[in-house]
Amino acid sequence: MEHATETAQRSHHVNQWVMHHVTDSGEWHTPLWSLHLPSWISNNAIMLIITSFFLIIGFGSFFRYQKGKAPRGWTNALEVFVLFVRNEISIAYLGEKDGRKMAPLFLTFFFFILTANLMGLCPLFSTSTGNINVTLGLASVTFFFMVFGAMYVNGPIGFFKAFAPAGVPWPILIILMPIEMVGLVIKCAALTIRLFANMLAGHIVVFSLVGLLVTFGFWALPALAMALAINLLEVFIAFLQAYVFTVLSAMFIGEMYHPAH
Amino acid sequence: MADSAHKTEPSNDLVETTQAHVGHGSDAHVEINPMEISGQMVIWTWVLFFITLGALYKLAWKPILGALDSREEEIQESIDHAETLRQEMAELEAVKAKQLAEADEKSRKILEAARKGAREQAEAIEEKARDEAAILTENALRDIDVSRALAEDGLRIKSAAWARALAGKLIEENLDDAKNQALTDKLIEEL
Repeated sequence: MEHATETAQRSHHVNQWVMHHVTDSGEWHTPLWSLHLPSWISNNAIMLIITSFFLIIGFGSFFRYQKGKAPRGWTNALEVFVLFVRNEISIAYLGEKDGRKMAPLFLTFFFFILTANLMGLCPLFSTSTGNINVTLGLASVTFFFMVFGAMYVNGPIGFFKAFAPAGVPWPILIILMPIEMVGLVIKCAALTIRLFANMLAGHIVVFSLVGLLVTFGFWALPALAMALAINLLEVFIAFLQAYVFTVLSAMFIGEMYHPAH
Repeated sequence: MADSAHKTEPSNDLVETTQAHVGHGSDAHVEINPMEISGQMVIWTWVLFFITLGALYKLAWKPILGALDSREEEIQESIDHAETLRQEMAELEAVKAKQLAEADEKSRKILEAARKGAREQAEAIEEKARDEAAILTENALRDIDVSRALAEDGLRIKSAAWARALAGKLIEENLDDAKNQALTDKLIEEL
């Protein structure tokens, strides 16, 4: 009985420990340092700052072009991703003209989310994309372009026409248009939840598997191997979710820029 | 269960660490809500995302996309240039083939004309040779006729001389030269 109680107690603390590590907090605690952050900044904000800093320094410094010479090394590797995002995502969903113009936005989406996702897999750092506020912030950028970008491209009237498919009788439009408008918000909410839930769930699984060791001791040793395997899977998920967010953003913005009627 | 937890504290480092991290005592029940919305974090995200977007646009995307575009243009230009060259080559090939055909036709005509000329010349030479041969033959025949006439004359003279000699012997009459000559001429005349 005492043993069972102790196990339950450990389980409760492991649960607290897991949730503490996967959610945002006002401190950056690692085995090396423990920083108590001021109220205006949080752990995930620090991670976003590091993400931005890494991208700006990394891409700004390491990628150099010499006129008349073929790109080499990292520049070449980056070009593969840049070409893919521009051609297969941006131009594919927004067309040649708008696709080329909007490519920097989708490139930033992809690399920003990817870096934030991967950072969570590195020791000492945490996953800022596992924070719903971060994914909400990113999805709201998509929403901004879906609404104001579409108004800029098609005009305000053209923007509202996108909600009224041609040939639909007006009584149905009365019902359909609000649904379509709500759909605009739902699409962004889906973007928010999808990235947040995937990143959060992956980390909860990894931490929970490690927590099994704490709860059950050496009996749960195989869980460590599983945690390692899930962590490797998380690398793939990091790329996949960055891609999915970017593709869906491009698709949603493309639908608003070029309505199918 | 919570009461039990109060009674039996797990003496585990991780639990202590957890308590320290979470910042509460062992009996603390921290409500962590991952769905909690924080406007401050959303603003942090916007600010950092747009700073990153602006900086990367300036430092990375613009030069990279510009380099990709100019390379695409260069490749397209090279392809277009290669296509133009290919067309020019095809045109040159056609011109060459046409010129070759014309030269072939011209040489054929020249050969034919030369052959015709040679044939005509050969025929003319042959004709001339035939004419000359005919003249020569005619001349030769004439010469033969003359020679035969001369030979016949000589033979006649010889024959007359022999006949006279024979006749002299037969009549055993010695005729002088003047008589002989006169007789001979008479005989020749008669012949």
